[in-house]
Amino acid sequence: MSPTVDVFCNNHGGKKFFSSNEDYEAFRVKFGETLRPELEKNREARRQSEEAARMRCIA
Amino acid sequence: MIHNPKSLLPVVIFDETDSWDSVRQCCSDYLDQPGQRRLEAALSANTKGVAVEHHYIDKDYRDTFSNFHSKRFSTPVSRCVRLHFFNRAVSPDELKETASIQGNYLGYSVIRPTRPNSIGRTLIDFKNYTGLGVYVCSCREKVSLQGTELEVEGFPFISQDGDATVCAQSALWMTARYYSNRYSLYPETYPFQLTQLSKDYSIGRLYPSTGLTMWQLGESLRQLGFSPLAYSRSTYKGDFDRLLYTYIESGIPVIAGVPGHVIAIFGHTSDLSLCSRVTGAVFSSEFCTAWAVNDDNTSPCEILLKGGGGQSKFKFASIDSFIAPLAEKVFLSAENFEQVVVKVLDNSRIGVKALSPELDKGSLVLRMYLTTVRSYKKQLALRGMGNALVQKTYRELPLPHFIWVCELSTPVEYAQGKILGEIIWDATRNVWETEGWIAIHYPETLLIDVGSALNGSQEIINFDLTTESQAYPMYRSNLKEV
Repeated sequence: MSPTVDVFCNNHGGKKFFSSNEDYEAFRVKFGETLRPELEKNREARRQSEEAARMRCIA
Repeated sequence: MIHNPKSLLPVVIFDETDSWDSVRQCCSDYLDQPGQRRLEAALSANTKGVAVEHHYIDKDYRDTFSNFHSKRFSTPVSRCVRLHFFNRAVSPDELKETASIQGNYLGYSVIRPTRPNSIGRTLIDFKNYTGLGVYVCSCREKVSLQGTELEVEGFPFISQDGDATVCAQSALWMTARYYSNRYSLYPETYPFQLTQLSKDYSIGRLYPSTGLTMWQLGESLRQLGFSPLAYSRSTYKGDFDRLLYTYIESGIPVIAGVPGHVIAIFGHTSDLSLCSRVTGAVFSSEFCTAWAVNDDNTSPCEILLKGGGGQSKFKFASIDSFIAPLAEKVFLSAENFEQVVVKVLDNSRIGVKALSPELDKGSLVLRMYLTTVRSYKKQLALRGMGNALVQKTYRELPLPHFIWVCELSTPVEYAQGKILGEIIWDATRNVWETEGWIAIHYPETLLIDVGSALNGSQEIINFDLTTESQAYPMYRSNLKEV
């Protein structure tokens, strides 16, 4: 038997949050879609910031 | 008065006849007037006695002396003077007993025979700044004063020698020395060694140095074992100060570029009276009013005010770029964590509106930081986490080495240093893995990913907390309160 976290095997009243794997998967995909445009913007900002760091001279 | 003025360890006691000028006279070939003024600016409020340790061999100066200064026709001497500061008059006999003077020790400053800047390795204890109201990154050093072992806790300072090292190497040294003092993972690195770190990324000679680019500073940090990230104000605009604050709140000092110069930022201060004006959801960075900085051209631990006019001549807007030296395993950056947190809180299934009537009924204050799980777990019992089940669950759950945390609070609770919940995200996750949340804790519920905890797929368990939930202290271990 695999070990598990004590708080979960001692029946502290936790319940599965998502009703099924399909429910979870639908949530996960949708959550990812809402995030993707913002993360794309961050990726571009990172590229620009690293480019700026090449030119930023400190005497 | 001066005890044993002709000895190798004269002790200057500040009184009507002797003060900082006497200290300079005790080490006249080393400490010049500009250097004296810089020490006075940092220490005059509390210093009542100074022990002048002659013929001190300083590891950092000896490094640049051996590799640079010794190659000149006109060479400075190879040794230094080290000044030890005390907040009361101490006698030579007392200097032999750690217990007698530890509580009064304000730290040390190595005085080099270099011009135009004579202030070498310096560590001023934060007790010198008590009451300043800042939260700072701090590290400890053990100091041996003729065999008497003393401890000092501060943030390292050094001034450039203007030859082998300029401000870039000085800021790099201050940051690197903080890390090597605090974490055994990082090697102690000396000033001349730092000049060599950019040798594969330079056009022209390395020394005498004419400065570095932010990119070269980042590369140098990378070679010291960090995973540095560069930020520029022109790119991040309104997010820039908030991201800088988030790294400082995480106990990560940053190297910050200002016009023609670079400084180390290692702390912040906040005005919590601003909490009363909060509407909607705000980040705690909104309350930040100043940075604690080390500017190698001035004195240790200066306050840089948001609008200018502080000890530092700069203001927030002067900072045009910074580099955050992250640990290797921190794969998720601050800006990406911020995005996922905002989306979680707004989400129709797991957000505040869906799961937390308590947090949904008013304004929210969000405080983000990165920390180690080792440190986070160490504080669980002390903080209580608002609910025994939450504390127990966090304690038992296998967690990654680094976590991002966003604490959730109301303006009223935040002003009292308390919070009502948090979102914990795995900092070792790839940014595109949107299932990186480990826990979402609201006053009414705790969502825990038990799948990832056991190295499996995400599996969310929901615990009802409505029967027992209260505000609890915010996490404070990343920074020291001064």
